[in-house]
Amino acid sequence: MFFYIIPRMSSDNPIQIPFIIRGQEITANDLLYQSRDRKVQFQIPDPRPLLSQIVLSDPTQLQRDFAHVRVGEIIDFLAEAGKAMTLNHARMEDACRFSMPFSALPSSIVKGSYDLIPIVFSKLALRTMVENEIGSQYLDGWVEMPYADKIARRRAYGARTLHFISGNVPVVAALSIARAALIKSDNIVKVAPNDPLTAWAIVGAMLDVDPNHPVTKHFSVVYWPKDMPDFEHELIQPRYLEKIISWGGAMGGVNSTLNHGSLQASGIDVIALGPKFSISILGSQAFKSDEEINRIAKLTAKDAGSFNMESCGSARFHFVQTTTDQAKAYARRLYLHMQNQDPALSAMPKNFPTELHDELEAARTQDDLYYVVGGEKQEGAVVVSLTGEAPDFFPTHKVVVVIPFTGSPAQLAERIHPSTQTVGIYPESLKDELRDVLVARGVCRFISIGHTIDYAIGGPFNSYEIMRRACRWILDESQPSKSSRPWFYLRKAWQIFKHHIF
Amino acid sequence: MTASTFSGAPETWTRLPVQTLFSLSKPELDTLQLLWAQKRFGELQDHIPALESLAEKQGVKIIDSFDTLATILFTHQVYKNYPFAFIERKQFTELTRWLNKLTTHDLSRLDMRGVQTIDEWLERLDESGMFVFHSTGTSGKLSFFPRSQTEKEAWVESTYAFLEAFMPGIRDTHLPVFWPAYRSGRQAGMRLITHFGPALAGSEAEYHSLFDAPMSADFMSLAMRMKHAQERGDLTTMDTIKAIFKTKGEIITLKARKAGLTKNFFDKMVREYRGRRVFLMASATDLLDVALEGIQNGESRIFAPDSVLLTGGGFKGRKEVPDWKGILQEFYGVDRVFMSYGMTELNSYNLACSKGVYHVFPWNIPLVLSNDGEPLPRTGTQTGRAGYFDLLAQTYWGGILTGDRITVHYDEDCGCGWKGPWIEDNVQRFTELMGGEDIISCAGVQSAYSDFMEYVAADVPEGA
Repeated sequence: MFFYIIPRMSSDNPIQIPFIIRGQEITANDLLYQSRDRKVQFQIPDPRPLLSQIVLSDPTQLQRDFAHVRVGEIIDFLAEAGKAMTLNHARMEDACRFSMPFSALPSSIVKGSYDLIPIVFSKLALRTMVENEIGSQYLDGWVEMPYADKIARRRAYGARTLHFISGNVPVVAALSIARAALIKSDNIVKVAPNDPLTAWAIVGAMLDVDPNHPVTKHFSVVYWPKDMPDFEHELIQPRYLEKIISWGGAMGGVNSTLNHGSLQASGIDVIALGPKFSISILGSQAFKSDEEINRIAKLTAKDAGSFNMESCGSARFHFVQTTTDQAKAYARRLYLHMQNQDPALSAMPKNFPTELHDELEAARTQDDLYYVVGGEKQEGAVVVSLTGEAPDFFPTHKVVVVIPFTGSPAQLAERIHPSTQTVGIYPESLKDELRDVLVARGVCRFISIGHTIDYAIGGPFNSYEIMRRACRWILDESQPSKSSRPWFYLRKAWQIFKHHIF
Repeated sequence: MTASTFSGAPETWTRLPVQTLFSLSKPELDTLQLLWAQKRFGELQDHIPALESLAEKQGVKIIDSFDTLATILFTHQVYKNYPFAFIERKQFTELTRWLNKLTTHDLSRLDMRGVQTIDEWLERLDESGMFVFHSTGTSGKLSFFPRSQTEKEAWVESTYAFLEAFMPGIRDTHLPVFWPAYRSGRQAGMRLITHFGPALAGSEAEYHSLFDAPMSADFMSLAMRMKHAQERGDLTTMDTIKAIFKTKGEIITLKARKAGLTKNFFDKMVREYRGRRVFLMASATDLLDVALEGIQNGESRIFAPDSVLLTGGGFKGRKEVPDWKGILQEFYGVDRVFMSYGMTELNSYNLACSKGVYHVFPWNIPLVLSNDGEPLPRTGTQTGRAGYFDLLAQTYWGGILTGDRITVHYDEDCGCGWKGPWIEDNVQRFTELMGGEDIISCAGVQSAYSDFMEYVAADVPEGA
């Protein structure tokens, strides 16, 4: 199934995935992870005897350790570690190389994604992230609210957090770790078997810079197998955790009988990042001429094909306001452009699913219903629905569905699936007409076509701001004394004035 | 035995004795099967549009080898790739047009006006001479398999040939029949019991089903509608579906209720038919649950030893009980537990022999393909994706590519005395082999429905 034969990885000698627990690296081959087909396996330490080291039982430790650490210092530290996150450092290079068999992405894209990691850990990106999403002053101290009849101050505190990170694209690990470090949280990262190494390499780079830095001291990177409900129950308790950030759905990383409702009831805040997918909506202006169709298709090909459609931002369904003939012409151009993309972003799909291949073959037999371009090998395809109804399979692996429609684009809103994340819209003017109705249907992000991978740093993700939600927001209220009241009112007046003017 | 016994068309072979059916040497069988595969292809190619387009794409004009045949199999999606919206919007004319691409019968002039439900649609197709089988729709979407009256006799006879193997003289014997599910219907197993229940029992009175009602195709497709409605947060549609549940609630409302009914059914059977020869067909899990409880209550050897206990399918994710066949024999008192392995797409089941492996009737050609879809040699032992060609298909294309992983032995005998290829008793769905990892991705669709299908589909014994 996998074509990348790694010398140190064979079924007799599976690679070891080390844990990092609070600045200490632990390597052992106590347990063997095996995928069902046994083609992917790795060895890990047994997490059970390590539980007391993994959790932070004394919550005041977190506040003590970060009491005098400002966001600026954290940025300096992370950026220093970030310098060691390029592929010419052994730890990163190992992680990248060994990740390849586990990832659903072809090796060129895994590498391309690893190249993005030091960019996430650059000073500029880190600063942008924290200022856009929270404002570092809230993390470093108390900030007074202008509208209040008393002295009311807010501050964002880090929390003891368990992260279930997704493994589809390695840069997710980098973003999760950077966000968590910036807000001074205590973090237990459970890696996913489709990317068991990236988080280890990133936190490992921090450890190499300073194993005793508060940030390093408050990071653990672990994995436990799905048949370990007792461990899961021991770990996931309100006395150890305040937050769970769960990619892949409400309880994406939890295997045991714990459920979302009972966790929320216990006081653990579950931040669920459910799976999403993205679409494009192209108005009739995109189909004015063959040249225009080609130009548009080149842009939407980038939205569709990037990260081989392993990403939530990949545009899988393209709604096109045109005739079926024009839609077919668009599909042919789209297919060609998707087959000729930057190999760091889009390459020959790996492990093309047989089911999907069969769907394409089946679609070809119904030529009144579907028009299929490509898909003969395992390179991907574009399927045009000639009835205007979406087919019932979910397109992945560089297979895109084109759905022609007539009438007002606003009527499309009825057909928008609530898991829709990003919508690429052309022409730009169509955005004004569609934005509000699409938001009402669940859409989280609008882009100019061709730019889905250019996420604005520190912007909301899936319609909420993860960093803000990952913090505990604390309020400190004090009543001004009688004598200080004139000054208090003066100050309030000035604050409100400032708020309105600037 | 020479091939001259097989000089007629494959549908005539179904009346041959089992010993004869499994007597051909490999070269004899290969020659015969290839000849008929080519013949079927020649007859059907210009009359089934979907086959025509597949053959054209694959550049197949003549079937000169089994490898060529393996390139023009229909995947199972071919039988369910209509847009589900056709059903939601009651566009049964469009659905008929879709089906028309898969059969030699001309359905284009069928009047589907006024058809409101899938059941009505299937009824109208039945009236026109079609004999469409649908699936249980565990994926949420029903497959429609375009069999017709032309195949019906071969279907009946090939099933008799299958049953004959465990019950010699079955065509002239009547036994009380027990079937813990719906009484009739158009899903594959239901088509079978609708015909064979009364036929084997000799009367409606001696055919005992768990429910008196027929299985509704619309009911089976509710899961998909429920899923769509849940994803959209469409409470109105969800309420409508719930209302349907209430009216159909007589049949099944909850798994718990079904468990109670099943228990009563088996209790009655044990009480009133003790010591008699019966025909009992059910899922292995249902049979085992009853047997384990019975044994605990000190009961055993319920029926006459020559009764027929037929089961199939697996343990539906439950842990397999060691020596479960021994437990069934002990409780039900039968000499043997008969196993079958089949699918909607094939007219007859594959038959388990005394050695416990599945023999393939000569009218079915087993083909094994690699993961990349390349045909594997038809020699020795081959493991891979199962394809079949059903020579009994005369008005639709008999070639199918399944999602099953099978191991076929082509050359060696299993030791039971029958010749021909046989399949090991370890058939697995590829999806079961691959799924279930704790892989996490941010890309995908939030799945809203979970075990809804479990209690809708729970009433069709697996392997039926």
